[in-house]
Amino acid sequence: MTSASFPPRSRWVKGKATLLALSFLVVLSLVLAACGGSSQGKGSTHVLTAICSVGGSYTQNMSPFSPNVNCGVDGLVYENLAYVNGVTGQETPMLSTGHQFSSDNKTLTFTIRDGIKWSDGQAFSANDVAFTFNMLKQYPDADSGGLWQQLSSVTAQGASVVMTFTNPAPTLLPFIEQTYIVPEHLWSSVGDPTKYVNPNPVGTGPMKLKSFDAQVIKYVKNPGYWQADKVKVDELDYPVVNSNDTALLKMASHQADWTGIFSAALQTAFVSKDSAHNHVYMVPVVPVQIVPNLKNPLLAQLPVRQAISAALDRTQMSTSGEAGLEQPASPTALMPGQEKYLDASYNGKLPDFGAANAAQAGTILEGAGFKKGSDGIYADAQGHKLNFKVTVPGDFSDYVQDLQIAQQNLQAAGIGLTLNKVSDDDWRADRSSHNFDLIMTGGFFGPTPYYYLEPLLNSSHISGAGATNWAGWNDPQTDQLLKQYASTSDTATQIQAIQGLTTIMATKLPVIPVLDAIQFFEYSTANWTGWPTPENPYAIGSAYQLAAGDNEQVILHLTPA
Amino acid sequence: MRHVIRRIGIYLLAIWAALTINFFLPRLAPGNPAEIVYQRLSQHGAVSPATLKALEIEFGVNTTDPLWVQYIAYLNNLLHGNLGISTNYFPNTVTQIIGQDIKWTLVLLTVSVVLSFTLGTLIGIVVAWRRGTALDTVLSSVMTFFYSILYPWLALMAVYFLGYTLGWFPFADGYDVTLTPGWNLDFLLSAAYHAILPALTLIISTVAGWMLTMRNSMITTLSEDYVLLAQAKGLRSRRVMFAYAARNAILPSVTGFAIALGTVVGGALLVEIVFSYPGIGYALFQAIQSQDYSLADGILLLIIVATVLMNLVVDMLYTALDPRVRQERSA
Repeated sequence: MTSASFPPRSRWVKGKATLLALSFLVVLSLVLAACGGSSQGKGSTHVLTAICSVGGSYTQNMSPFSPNVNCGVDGLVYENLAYVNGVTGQETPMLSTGHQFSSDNKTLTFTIRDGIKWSDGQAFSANDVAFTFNMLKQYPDADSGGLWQQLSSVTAQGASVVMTFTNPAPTLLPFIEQTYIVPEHLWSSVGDPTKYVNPNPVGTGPMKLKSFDAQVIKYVKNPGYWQADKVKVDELDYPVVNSNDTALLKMASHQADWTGIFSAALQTAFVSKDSAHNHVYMVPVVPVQIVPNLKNPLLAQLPVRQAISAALDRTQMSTSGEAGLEQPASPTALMPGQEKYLDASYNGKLPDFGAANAAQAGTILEGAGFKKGSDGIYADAQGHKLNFKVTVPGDFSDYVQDLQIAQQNLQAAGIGLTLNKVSDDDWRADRSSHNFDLIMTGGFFGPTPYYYLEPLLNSSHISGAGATNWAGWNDPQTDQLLKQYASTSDTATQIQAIQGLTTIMATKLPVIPVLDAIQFFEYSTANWTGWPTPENPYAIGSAYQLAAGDNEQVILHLTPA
Repeated sequence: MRHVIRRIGIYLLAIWAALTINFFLPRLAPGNPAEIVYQRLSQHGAVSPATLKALEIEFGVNTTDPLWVQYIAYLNNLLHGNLGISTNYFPNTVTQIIGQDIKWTLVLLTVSVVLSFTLGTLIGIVVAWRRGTALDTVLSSVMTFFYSILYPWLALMAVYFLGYTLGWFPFADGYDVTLTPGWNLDFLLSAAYHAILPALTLIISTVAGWMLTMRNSMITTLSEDYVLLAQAKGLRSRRVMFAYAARNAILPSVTGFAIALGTVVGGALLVEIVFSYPGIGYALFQAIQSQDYSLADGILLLIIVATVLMNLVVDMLYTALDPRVRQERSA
């Protein structure tokens, strides 16, 4: 290293410059910090801040018929004919005051509410309702409920809207009621409603658009709203948030009041920061289940499914897999609060699976002629071993953890289980094409258990591109009960059908319910009170948009703290 | 001149090859965007199985056109500057989405990359000049420490302590969302204030790379005879340091700098996630997750073109910086 002697004496020129630059940065940030001190300009206007989705900048999309509709459009700007509570099944008329089916269930008449105005001052009428439904006929891509597969005409007759169907269609009712109604005078010329950005939305709802920016969407109270006296929210802001962690920090520091996210750290990072104000209310909606492939000759045997179900430790899955947020499922697949759908033999009490019982699982299998091999795994008389693969999306970390628990449970009961972690795409594709032994998945949900059971169990959904009868359950009695529900508008007959179906769920195990899937809901009472609670579940509280328009009900109940 | 034209030709070929891979690769994956949007909707309430069909009509998926016909149509659209419609943000066009997010990315990342490069290179020069001294030992080891820190960890610590606990800086957003974006002082100050933490963490985590590259390259150059000659001539040491040693030693760093500037348009996903900062990285991430082919293709095209363009600029720059290159090329 001859060159070591070259450098001249120290001259701190560059070092000084760096130091200077850094201190400038510090000064600058202090100045800016002083400027940024003015927090939310509340004063006399009451601002509600909600985080409704986690992920990226907004692009404007204010058509309620777009699958990527912006937060606040469904229910807050545009309203539907009636709101149906997904927890209690209770119906609240909105733009209609009521509806009636004809005796053959092929004609449905809605009475339209009088005295409602669009936010541009024009009067709302039955013509707008008829227009909206006929627009869906013209543009099938907007008809996400598939209404026109059974509708044959929709006409306005005075203050009523009359719908006729090609066949009895009472099960379409929730999809009709949750359709958002748009003004004919503005929408008759927009063309395909899914391709219309709708930059200046004009609706009947409690809020109207104040400003749209890629980083925040703001709404203000609609003074002409037909229930304006119930609306205490002056302004509603939806800022963009890119991660659950940021959402939690915003909630914990009361920069946001309302959200709906999953996090295993809800207690420590949110509730415990201000337990007087910060609350979590997770709303159970449908079961998460392990679906067996009934084409597999072993899984097609009821005792094998019963043994698997008996061996599962659902309590541990709930506490360690789901951070205690999801509760163990009932064998009837019903949620707490849905006891009216129970068969009389249950005496109105939702049954549970009981504790994990490996011994019972063994007894069931031995009773069905299975024998335990030297490796501790049961096999049938022909030597087919009870070794199964369960398919799960690798990035659903809670499912993966649940299944690791299941793996230990089943091992103890003499059943081998391996996890087949795949991408979300493969999981969906395998599920529809019955390419699995066992698969873990949630389900559909709607105002009654029918909307969960029908896609899952109807034999007509076994094959096809979007097959939803993933197990391949083909049972004439099930199909008969589903038909019974679908062909009547009489609630008592419908409840009877569901009672039959839940008994089939509990006794024949077409799928194995594990936990109750939830809608996420976190809120703070620091600035706003009147949120839905387990004691008063007037709506599903999640800040994201639900198809039924639950957000509107929440807004109507909130008052400044 | 011939040289420039030849380079441009090679780069055009590179763009075409990248585009082609870019087109076919995502389409080989199973599933389609309609199914993914359908899945998302069905988690939020009563969704009819008919919805899937409606979405497929809407997005035009499950077309019967063979892949090569779609490929020709894609190239044709590109030639007309049409990047297509995003399925994830349907019915918005890819151009709209990119236009909306890119300004945040460009400002934050360009400033960070330029600052980090300048700072790192200057420190590298000084430290190499004074190699073996206490300054070199301390700075080099501190920098190596920063170099090996995982960026997400550094960013999370900054968010939690400087942002959330101490409250010195905002821990999220690109600006105070109660303000109206525009060319007004309040908004610009707020935007600058919100950019400090992301920029600072980006600079801290990358400055060491520039510094170490420069230091190593500089040390090699310092042992060259022409540096010795310059010293012997009695030139001022600052002139020797910059005009003789650093000018020659900086060449590898310049290449790295160009590549870094080129990838700027791809955004910085981690920054955007941890700081909830607006930018293009998140759009790309979501596009890939939801098989939004057009959007992913559009952003990747942008990255490819920017990288190639920056390489072209470096080629030109080399000619200016390094006389040897000029000589070789004229020969």
